[in-house]
Amino acid sequence: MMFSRRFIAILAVVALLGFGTAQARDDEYQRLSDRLERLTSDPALGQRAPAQMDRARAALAQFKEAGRGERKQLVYLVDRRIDVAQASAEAESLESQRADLQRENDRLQLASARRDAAQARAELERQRLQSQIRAEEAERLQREAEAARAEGEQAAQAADAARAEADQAKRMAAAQAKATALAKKEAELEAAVNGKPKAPAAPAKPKPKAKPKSNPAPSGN
Amino acid sequence: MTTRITKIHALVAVLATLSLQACSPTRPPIEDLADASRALGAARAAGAPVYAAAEYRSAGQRFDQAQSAEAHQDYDAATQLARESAADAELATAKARLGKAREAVAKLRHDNAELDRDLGEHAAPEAQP
Repeated sequence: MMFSRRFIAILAVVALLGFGTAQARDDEYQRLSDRLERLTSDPALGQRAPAQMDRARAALAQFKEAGRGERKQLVYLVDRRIDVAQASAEAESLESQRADLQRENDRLQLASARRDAAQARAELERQRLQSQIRAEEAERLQREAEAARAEGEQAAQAADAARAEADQAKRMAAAQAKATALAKKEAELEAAVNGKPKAPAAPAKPKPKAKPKSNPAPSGN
Repeated sequence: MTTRITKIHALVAVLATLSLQACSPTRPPIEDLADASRALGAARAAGAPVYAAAEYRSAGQRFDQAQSAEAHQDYDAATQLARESAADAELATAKARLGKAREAVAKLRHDNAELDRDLGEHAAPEAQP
């Protein structure tokens, strides 16, 4: 009888322990279920990574149906499955953002390329205008140089003419002086022949070969 | 009374034997180890050593432990560790994908901001008439 009481007490303790363990298992299940529920109801992530979400749900269902020993092993795997589902959903969300950003990047690159092309065209036009201005300036300078050269040639010709005229005048003056000297000598000789006293002879007026314009012949004195 | 005690002892002995049989090692977890090895390879290929170093390291350690347990014919432990290793490796792969996506998004945000600022500062010249 005493043994029976002891046996019943042991059974009660075992039952209590079992109840406690079952309660702990339910708490564990509740924790995992809440985690998955939070993830699936997340507005940004809930609809993403459906395959991984399904695997997490399946792992949780397996955990719920599993026996005590198996649950202990499964809890780690269920946690990891939920982690995988969450990471995959976040990655999908970021990949979607990346696609949007890439489209924006393409648009900006296109705008940048168009801007660069417009700048290149504007630079080309500026260079063309500058080149045209330089060509016109060079042409004008060339015309001026030609005009100056022609003017210089005319001045040189005038100078040559003046030099030639001066030379001619000099030659005429020398000839006139020579003629005067000869006339004087002739008069002296004539006077000596006639026995007349020597009188000053009037200088013969030589006929100039050409009449200088600016340098008149000196008088016979 | 003695007979009843004997019966109870016999029942307990039978239950204990059955429990031990239920928990006894079954066979080498060849498939689980192969799955874990494949998952580790996939994680490595995905860049997990860089982007999810902790998870990748944990997967490798569990895989080593699983192999060691199998070598000691502790097949239950080997099975459990191989499955945990595969789960860690899958998480490492997912986190590597996440890390790469984060990097790409950050880079594109930066590039777009630069391009936007550049376009704002150096606007295209007015079209010549």
